Amino acid sequence: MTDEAQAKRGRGGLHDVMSATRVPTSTKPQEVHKWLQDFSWEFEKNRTKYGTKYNMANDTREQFKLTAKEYARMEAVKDERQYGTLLDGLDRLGAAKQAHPRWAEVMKVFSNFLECGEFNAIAGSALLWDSASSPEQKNGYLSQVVDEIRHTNQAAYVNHYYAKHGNDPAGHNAGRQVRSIGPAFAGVKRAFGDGFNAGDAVECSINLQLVAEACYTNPLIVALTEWAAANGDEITPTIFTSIQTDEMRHMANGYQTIVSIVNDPEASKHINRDINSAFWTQTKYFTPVLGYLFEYFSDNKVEAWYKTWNRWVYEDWAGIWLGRLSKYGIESPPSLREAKHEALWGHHDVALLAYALWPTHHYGHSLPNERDMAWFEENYPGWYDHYGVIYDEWRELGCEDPSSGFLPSQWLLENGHIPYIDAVSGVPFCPSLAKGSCDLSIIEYNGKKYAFSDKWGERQFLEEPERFEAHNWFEKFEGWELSEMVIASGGVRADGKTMMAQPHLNGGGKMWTVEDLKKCGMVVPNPLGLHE
Amino acid sequence: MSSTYSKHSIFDPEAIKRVQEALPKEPQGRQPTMNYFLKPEGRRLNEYEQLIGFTMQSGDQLGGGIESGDFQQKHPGGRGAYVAETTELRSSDWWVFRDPNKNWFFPYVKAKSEEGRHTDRHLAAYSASGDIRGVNPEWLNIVEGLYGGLVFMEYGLFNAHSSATKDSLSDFIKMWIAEIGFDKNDAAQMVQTQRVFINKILPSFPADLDSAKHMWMQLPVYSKMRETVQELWQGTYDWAEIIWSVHGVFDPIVGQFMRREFFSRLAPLYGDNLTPWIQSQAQDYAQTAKLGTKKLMVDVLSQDETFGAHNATVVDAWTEKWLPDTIASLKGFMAAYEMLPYQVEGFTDKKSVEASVRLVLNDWVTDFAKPANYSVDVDALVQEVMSGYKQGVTQ
Repeated sequence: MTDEAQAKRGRGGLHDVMSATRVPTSTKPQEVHKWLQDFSWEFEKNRTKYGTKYNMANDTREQFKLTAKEYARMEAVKDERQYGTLLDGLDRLGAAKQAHPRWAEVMKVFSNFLECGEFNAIAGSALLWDSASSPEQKNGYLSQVVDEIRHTNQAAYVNHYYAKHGNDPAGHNAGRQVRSIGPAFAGVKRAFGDGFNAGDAVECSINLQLVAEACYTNPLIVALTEWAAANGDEITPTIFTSIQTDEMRHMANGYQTIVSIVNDPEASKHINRDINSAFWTQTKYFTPVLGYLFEYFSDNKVEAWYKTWNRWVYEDWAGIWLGRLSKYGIESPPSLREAKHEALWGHHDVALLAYALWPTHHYGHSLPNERDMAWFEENYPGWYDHYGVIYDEWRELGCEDPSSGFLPSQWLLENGHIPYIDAVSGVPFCPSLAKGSCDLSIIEYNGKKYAFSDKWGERQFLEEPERFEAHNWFEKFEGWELSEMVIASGGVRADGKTMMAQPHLNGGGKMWTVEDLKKCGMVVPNPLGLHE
Repeated sequence: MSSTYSKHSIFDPEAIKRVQEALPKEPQGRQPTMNYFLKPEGRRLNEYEQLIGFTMQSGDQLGGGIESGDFQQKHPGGRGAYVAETTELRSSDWWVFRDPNKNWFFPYVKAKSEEGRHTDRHLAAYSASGDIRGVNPEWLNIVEGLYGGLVFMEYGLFNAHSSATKDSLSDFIKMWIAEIGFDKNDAAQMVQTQRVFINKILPSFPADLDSAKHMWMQLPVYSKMRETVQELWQGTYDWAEIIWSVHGVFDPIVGQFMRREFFSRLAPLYGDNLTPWIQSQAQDYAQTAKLGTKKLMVDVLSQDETFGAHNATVVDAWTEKWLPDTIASLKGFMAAYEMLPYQVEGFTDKKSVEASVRLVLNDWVTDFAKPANYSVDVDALVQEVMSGYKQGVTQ
């Protein structure tokens, strides 16, 4: 039979069109989705453009079986509800102005940093879309690509909304600019940025879906909404709870990534090492930073961070979620025990350094007050004797007063407390002040020195040094005077001189200007230069 | 002392009092526009620009980026996440491009959701009305096989967008590429939606893709097209080349011809009004992609103050590279006319088909070749395509 004859005849011969029913009907998404696996075909070059040491099976199915139109229908309903609430109900209630000032400050950083993660997850999910060969698995990753666009826009919307309707737009309106001089941003770029899409596709999936989404979005997004509401912020829960409704599908994607590789015997050589590496990548940043942001920027504190950490990370993720994957040979990461210990003091160490470097942020800080200190001491016995005494001394020396000429960062150096940046995680640490674990080691590689605060990160560096050769914060800004950095990054308010960052949130108090900062004469050193 | 608090402190009088005491007495700032430091495309920053511009980090090695510093963790071997080496094109400012439709997530997905609801209503009305009874049964076999080939064409082009999404060099560009890729996926699924629907109202019509895949994989009508789609999908690494070759060369010629000139235009001749309706959505998506592609490649990158001439040369080279295979793909598809149930004067005869080919190519010249200063002999191209045409049986 010729081609054209075949085309005319079809397989069934001629159809009796008059026998067609006249019952109104349409198609359900599942009726279309079930054919997805047939959309692809074999050809020689059909393999991923990105290297991976794993083989992803080409018959892997996805768990949430969505067509493009069904996806759009579902997400449009969610967004109509969410933006409708914001632009109607919450607008009329003046909700943005009800948030405690401390909490409004922390959303300048929480939302902007989450946005970084969501944006890089677009590329990370696209990397997986490229790497999978199964059409259903590609479809699941593709839905995540578009979800992450949604989440990026949603995280941005928090800042956009607060800039427009809140009490203090400065920082909400300029986070993407000023964060580049902040020492906290490097770490989020690594854990919640590059870690999601710069690497082996499966390694990236583990970072993004198996660890960050299955583990850390629970405290970052779910617990955060409780803290937000307790501190007068109903904007963030409206948006963040909506973000979280998509995360279940992402966790399923991560699960299916594991399913797609476990039948390959070679996978077992790498998988648990990659899980431990990903877990340490995420935990090294988020364990201290989330705790710092929750506890030091809230007026009403929901619960001690180590309890939140224990529930979500140790019991829920490591116990239950990884437990479900144990049948595939997945083990609990060996770094988990150390991480659990870090949840107790690590965030207090980071908080002290963050306050000391207050001029370099795009948000304002405040010293712990009496109410805060009492809470800290109750939940972390010994807190006052280690941290509280320092905050009190800084207060006495006038750290809040622009005319004092006092900067806590200068106090650190003058008192022999040298801060470093961990080369792999980007997290600042100060060995002489740390109550959490902190084992300073310095390695020279390719003519340059690198500092590490723990053995897991050091091991990651030694295994693949070219992945972590980057200037750290001190090296980037060595020799810069702080006010120059603030001006260069655009960290001033609309009047051109008052800083966005402030060491206090006293509504009636005097705000620091770049001139006040310049008078302090703080020049950024390079701590690694002390080890020549 | 433990902290006691209300779950929603905006309703707690104590908490409200504490907030009021803590609030500043004076307004703290006068700049309510997020991203105010981004240069707007128009007079003022719109919502799309505020929400998206400069989201991407570590751009200090990219023209126009405001980031400082390097990537903190790189690919094995040392390549960063978003680097200039991923494309031949250069830009003094990757943040100039804006999606012409200003599609951040909400408007994008809202429009697609409306299309989905409209589709449901239309299919329900079509089936209740019994419109399929007016379709030529032989044409249904075309829908089963030849039309089913569109699933694979759109699916292959969809997959070309994966690496382009990962590697593209600004937030505006990345989100736009992801959305037009998603549209291609949708276009593939809509063809299958139509076929599944027909199977529901006419069970003798097979919903499976066996005949379509046989045509796609085995028959000359699709063989060159399939090879070209495979190269676009897996043989091309430069993300900008992917976008230009798919949306600036191949799809405006081959895709446009298949969707509009062949399937949409001919289906009603054989009693099928459903195919053009379904394809109208794919046409809308293709137009969206075309607009953005021309804007990015021609209006922005080829006019770049520093790299414009270089970029124009590269785009020219890419056009030169992909045009022959595109024309060969369309030439191969001309065999489809022989498969029609019967020929219709004014639509499927040689003169009419040649007019259709010329129309598509002339539009491509207007939309892409001329703006990109690419010279082309349309007559020669038409002749080449038509050398594949074979007239089928007359009625």
